Amino acid sequence: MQRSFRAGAKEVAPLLVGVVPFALVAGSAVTDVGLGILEAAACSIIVFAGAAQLALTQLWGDGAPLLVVIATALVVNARFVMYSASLAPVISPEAGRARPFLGYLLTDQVYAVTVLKGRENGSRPVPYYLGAGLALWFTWQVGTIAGAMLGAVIPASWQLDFAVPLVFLVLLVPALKVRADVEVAIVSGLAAAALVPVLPLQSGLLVAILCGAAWGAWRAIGEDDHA
Amino acid sequence: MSTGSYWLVLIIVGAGTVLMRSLPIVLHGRGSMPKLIGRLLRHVPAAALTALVVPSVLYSTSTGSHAFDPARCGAGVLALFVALRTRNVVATLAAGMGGLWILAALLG
Repeated sequence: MQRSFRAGAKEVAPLLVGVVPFALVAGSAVTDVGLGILEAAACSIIVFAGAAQLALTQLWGDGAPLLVVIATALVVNARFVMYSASLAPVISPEAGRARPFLGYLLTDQVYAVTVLKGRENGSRPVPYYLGAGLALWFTWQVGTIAGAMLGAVIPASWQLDFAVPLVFLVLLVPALKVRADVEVAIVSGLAAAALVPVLPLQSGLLVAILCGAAWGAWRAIGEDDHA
Repeated sequence: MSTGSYWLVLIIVGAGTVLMRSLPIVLHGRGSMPKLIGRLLRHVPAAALTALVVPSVLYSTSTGSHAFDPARCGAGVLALFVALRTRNVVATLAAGMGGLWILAALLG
């Protein structure tokens, strides 16, 4: 149990290099629109999702209608439904009474490491997920409070945000074991390249994941017909 | 706008987000899932990871919009080779970040 918890924290650690500058930006965005450190901390604890926090804070600061602010943030976070459904077969059977409390910690990074590595080397997925999730949670909270107090102190020119796709790249390699997944990756990669810059409400990511998954599902139907 | 409206947004978005994150985990195993949903979900890991990687490698968002960034592309290709060969996170991070800084200095 402890070993799995540590394994999860260890696996997510390199991703924190990219999480810290993002947390600083998310924290400083809240003070930039005239709110305080309390609101910055509350935003990170209550919402705990970087892209949505930035979107809702900036829209609120621009004076957008509250319904627009809320709807935008929820669309940005809609991908979590897919992550949760995809992760459920891995963590739900072992979760027992903890089930209702696990979802709160779900992020892009923690989803990726748990779904791909949570059962490797005899790890148990639930403590593994908690280790990864809590490591990221504490980093995010400390980072946003620091950002609210100090501003985005890491220069944007360092481009530390690039650490996140780099780590995902390493995770992606073993995730492409079968031909179907290679095709899925090509479809969702092309869709993301085309749609992420243009679709509104940052919905390009969600639509790209759906395109890739739909290709995989459609392909499986064809194969079943031949079988 | 008043601080109160910001708190209202936080509470509604927070509640909606935690529901989206939690419901599938909580409801897992209750009732049977349509076959199509199962087929879609099987490929979410590969689809999600690729969709997260590709735009961050192709585009820089430092100007506020998505701009094609040749330094990121070059560093991304280098990192992909290192990832394929070593499957090592630290080596891939070093190659990708190092490559990005060098290319950005050369091209910038």
